[in-house]
Amino acid sequence: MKKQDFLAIPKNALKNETNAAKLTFLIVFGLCFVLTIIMAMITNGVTFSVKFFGTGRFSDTFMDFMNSIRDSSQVNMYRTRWTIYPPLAALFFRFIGGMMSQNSVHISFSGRKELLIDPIAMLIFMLFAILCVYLIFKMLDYRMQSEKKCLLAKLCAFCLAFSYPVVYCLERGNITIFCVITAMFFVFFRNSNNKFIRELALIALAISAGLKFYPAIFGLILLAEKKFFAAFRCIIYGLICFFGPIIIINAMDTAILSSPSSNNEYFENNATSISYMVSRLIKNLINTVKNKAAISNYSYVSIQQIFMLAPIKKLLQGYDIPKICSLAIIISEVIAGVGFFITKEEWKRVFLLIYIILNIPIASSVYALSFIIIPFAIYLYEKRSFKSADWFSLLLMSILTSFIPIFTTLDPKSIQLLPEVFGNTIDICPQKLIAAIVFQTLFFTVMISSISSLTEKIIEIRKQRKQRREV
Amino acid sequence: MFSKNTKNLNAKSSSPLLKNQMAIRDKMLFAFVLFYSLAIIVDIILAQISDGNTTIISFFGTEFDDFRFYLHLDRLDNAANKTFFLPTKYAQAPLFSLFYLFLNSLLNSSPSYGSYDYHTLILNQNINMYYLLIFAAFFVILGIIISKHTAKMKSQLVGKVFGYTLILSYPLICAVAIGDLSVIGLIFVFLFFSGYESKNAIIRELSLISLAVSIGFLLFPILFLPFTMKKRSKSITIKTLVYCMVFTLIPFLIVLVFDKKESAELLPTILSALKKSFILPKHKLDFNTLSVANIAYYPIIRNIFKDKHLFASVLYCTTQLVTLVAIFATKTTWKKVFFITYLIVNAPGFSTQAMLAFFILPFILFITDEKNRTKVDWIYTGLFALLLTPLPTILYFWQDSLSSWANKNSISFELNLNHILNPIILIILMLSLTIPSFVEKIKTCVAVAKSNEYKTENIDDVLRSKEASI
Repeated sequence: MKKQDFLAIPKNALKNETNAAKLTFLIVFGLCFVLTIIMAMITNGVTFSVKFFGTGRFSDTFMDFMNSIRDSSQVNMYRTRWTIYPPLAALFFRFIGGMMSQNSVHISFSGRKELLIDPIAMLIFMLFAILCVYLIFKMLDYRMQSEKKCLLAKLCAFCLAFSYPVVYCLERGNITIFCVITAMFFVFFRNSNNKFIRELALIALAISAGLKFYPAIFGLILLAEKKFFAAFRCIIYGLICFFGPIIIINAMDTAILSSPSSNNEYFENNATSISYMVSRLIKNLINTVKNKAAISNYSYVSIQQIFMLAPIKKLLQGYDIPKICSLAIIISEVIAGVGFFITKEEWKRVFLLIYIILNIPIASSVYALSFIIIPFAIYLYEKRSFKSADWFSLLLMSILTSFIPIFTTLDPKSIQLLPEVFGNTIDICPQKLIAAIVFQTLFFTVMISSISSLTEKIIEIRKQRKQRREV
Repeated sequence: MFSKNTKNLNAKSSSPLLKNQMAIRDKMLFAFVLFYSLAIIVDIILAQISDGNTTIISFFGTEFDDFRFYLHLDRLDNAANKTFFLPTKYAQAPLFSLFYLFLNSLLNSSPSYGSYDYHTLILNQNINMYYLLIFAAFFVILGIIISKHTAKMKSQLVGKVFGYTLILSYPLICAVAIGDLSVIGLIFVFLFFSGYESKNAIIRELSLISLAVSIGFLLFPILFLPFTMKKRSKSITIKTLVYCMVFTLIPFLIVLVFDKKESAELLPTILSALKKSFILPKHKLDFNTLSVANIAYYPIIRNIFKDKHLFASVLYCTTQLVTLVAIFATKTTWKKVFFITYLIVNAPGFSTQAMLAFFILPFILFITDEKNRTKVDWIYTGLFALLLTPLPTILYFWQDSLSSWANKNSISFELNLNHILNPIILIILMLSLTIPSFVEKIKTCVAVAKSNEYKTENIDDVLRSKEASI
C-alpha cells in the first residue's frame, strides 16, 4: 500500500454517494463525540458515566464478565446459579476461572465485586476487551477497504469499532461482543474465494450461536442463498459447539465431585449429568424469558418498549398492555421474517435478522445493538444509488452508533434521586431514551423501502409483460 | 483473503535474490511466531496449574504488593492533587502531565483524592472505562501502523500473525497490567519513522509533528532528532525544534500554572527529578529495571567486586559510552534506533519492563530491512523473541527452594524469567550489534589508511619520476 493512498481522501469524495455517506457518518459521530468529551469535562465525567451506568446503577462496570466467571466456575452451575449461558460460553468462562485464584472464583455472591480488584481477572478482561475491539476494527477495515484503500474507510471502521453500543458492551463486560465478532466474520467471509475461510465462517457462526444461542438466526442467510449443504455443515458445527462443551463441563464436574477435595466449602451440589444439565438450562431459559417479558425500562430496544412510553400508555389505558406487547412482538417478528426474504439488498437483510434477534425482550439490551455495526458496515461499503430512505436510514444508524451528548450539568446526588422521584422507568441518558424509538423507526424505514422497491419491480415486470403481449 | 496482496508483492519482487531474501525473512518471522505461540501455550497451561500465580508473577513480578494499574492510578492521584513535580519521583514529560490533567477533568470528584486510596480508585467506573478505551485505541492504532510494515512480508499470513504477536507482546501486556500509559508515545515514534523519508510533503510534516509530540510526551525521543538532519536540511531540523517547543514548552507552562508548588520550589524539584532519571541510585538487586547496572548485583558477579555500587556505576557508564559511540559507528537505521533505545532504557528513570515496548520499533525496522540475510540475523531474531515474549514462569515450581536459597544469600527473590533475563539479553544484543559495527569501522579505517598509503606511495612515485625527468 502506498503512503499516498493511505492519507488521500478521493477528490470526488462528495460526488461518490458511498463516500458522501461515510463522510456524513463521520461528521455526525465526530461532532457527537467531541461534544460528549466537552460535556464530560464540564461535568467532571458525570455525563459520561450516566451514559453507561444509568441513573441508579452504580459501580457495576465489567460485572457481566466477572459474574459469568464466578457462576460458570461452580459445579453444577445451571442449578447453583440459574445461569442461562450456553455451554460454550460457560466453558470459556470456566477456562478463565481456571487461571485465577480459587478463593476469588468461589467468592460469595455478595462479595463478587472483589473480582474487580483481582489483578488476573482484570488483566484478562482488559486483554479480552482490547482484542475484541481490535478484531472488530480489523474485520470492518478489511470489509470497507476491499475496493479502495482510503483514510475515509479506515476512519469509519475506527469509529464503528468505538461506537456507543460496542463501548457499552465493553462496559458491561458482556460476551455479546465476541458473538458480534464471530457473526461479523460469518457475514463478511461466507462468500470468500478461499475454501478454508469459507469453512471458518461457518464455524464462526456456530461459535457465535454457541455463545449466545440467538445468532443462530444468521443461518437463515445460508438458506436464503440456497446453500443447503453449508447450512447442514453449520448445524453440525453448532451441535458440536453445544454438546462438546456440555460433555467437557460434565466431565470436569464429575471429576471434581469424585475427587477427595470435593468436600471442601466450594461445592455444595452434587448430582450432575448431561441430560440434567440440558433440561436445567432449558428451564432456566424459559424462566428468564417469562421474567423479562414483563420488564420494561430504557435499557431495551424491543417494540414493547414503545408501548411503555407515557403518551402511548395513556392512549391504551384500559387495554391489556402486556398482551398488546406480545402481539406486537409476534407481528413485527413475522413482518421482519417476510421482509428478509423479499428484500435483496444485503445490509437490509442482515439488519432484519438483527431486528428479529433484538426484538425479543430477553435479547434486546441497548448494548446488544452492537450487532448493528454489521449491516452498517455493509451499508457504508455497498455501492449503489442512494434514495431518500437510504439517507434517512443512515441518519438513524448514525444516531444509534454515536455518543449522543447530554447537554446539562448534572449533580450525581440528584441523579441518584431521580428513580425514586419518577419511578424505576426514568433514565436521563438520551441514547437510551430514544434507542427503542430510533431502532423501531429504522425497522419501519427498511421495511417500507423494501416493499416500495419490491412493488416497483413488480410494476416493471408487469409493464414488460404487457409490452411483450402487445408485441 | 490473504492471497490478494501476496500476488502484488510477488510481482514486484521479481528478482530471485530478493525473493530468496524475503523467504529467509519469512522463515525468521515464522520462527518468532512459533516461539511466541509455544510460550503462550505453556504460559496458559502453567496458569491453569498454578491458579493464575504464574501469570501474576509474569506481569506483576514476584514481590507483588501493589494493585493493578498502580502507575496509572498514581499519576491520576498526582494530577488530582496538582503535584506534577515530585523530588521523590522520576521526571514526567509536560505533555504527559497535561494528558493526565485532561483525564482528571473527566473524572467525578472521588473521595479518594488527597488520601491515596487505591481500592477506591480501582473501583471507579470512569477510571476503568477511560483506561480501557485509551488502551484499546492505542492497540488499534499501533496495529494499523504495524500492519503497514508487515504488509511487506512475502507470506501475508505470517505477516498478519506476526503483527498480532507484536501487539500482544510481553512489554505491552506489562504496560496494561501495571498501568503505564507512557507507551502511547510509541505510536508517535513509529509515525515519525514511517514518514520522515516520505516523498509526500504532508506525510513528512506530520511525521515531524509526531516526533515533537513524542518528545513532549516522553522527553527521551529527543534523541531521535538527528534523524531529521539526515538530509542536511537545516530548515527541517529547525521546524522540528519549533514543533518540539510547541509540544513541550506550552504544556509545561500550562502544567506550571496548575501545579500546587511555589515557583521557588519548582526548579530544584524538576532538577532533582531529572537527576534521578539519569544517575544510578544506590540500590540492591532490582528485577523491575532493565539497566545493565542490575547485573552487578546478580549472583556470582556480586561476589567478584566488594564495592558493588562502584562496579555497577562503572558498568553503567561504560555501557552508555559504548552505546553512544556505537550510534555514530553504525550506518544501519535499525541499529541506530536500537542503540538510542538502549541508551534510554539503560537510564534508571526510564528502565521499566514496559519500556521494552520501544524495542518493537528497531525489531520491525530490522525485519523490514532489505539486505542480505546472514546467520547472525537469526541470533538477533532469537534475542528479540526472548525480549518480547512472555516467558513461562517455570521457576514457580522450585519456589520454596529458590526462596530459601535467596534468603541465605540475602538476594532479592525473583521467579519471573523475563525480569531475570532481560538485562542480560539486552546487553548481549547490544554487544552483538556493537562488536560487528566496531569491527566494520576498524576495517574501513584500515582500508582507508591502506588506500592513503597507496596514494602516498603513488605520489612518491610520481615525484621520483618527475625528478628523473628533470
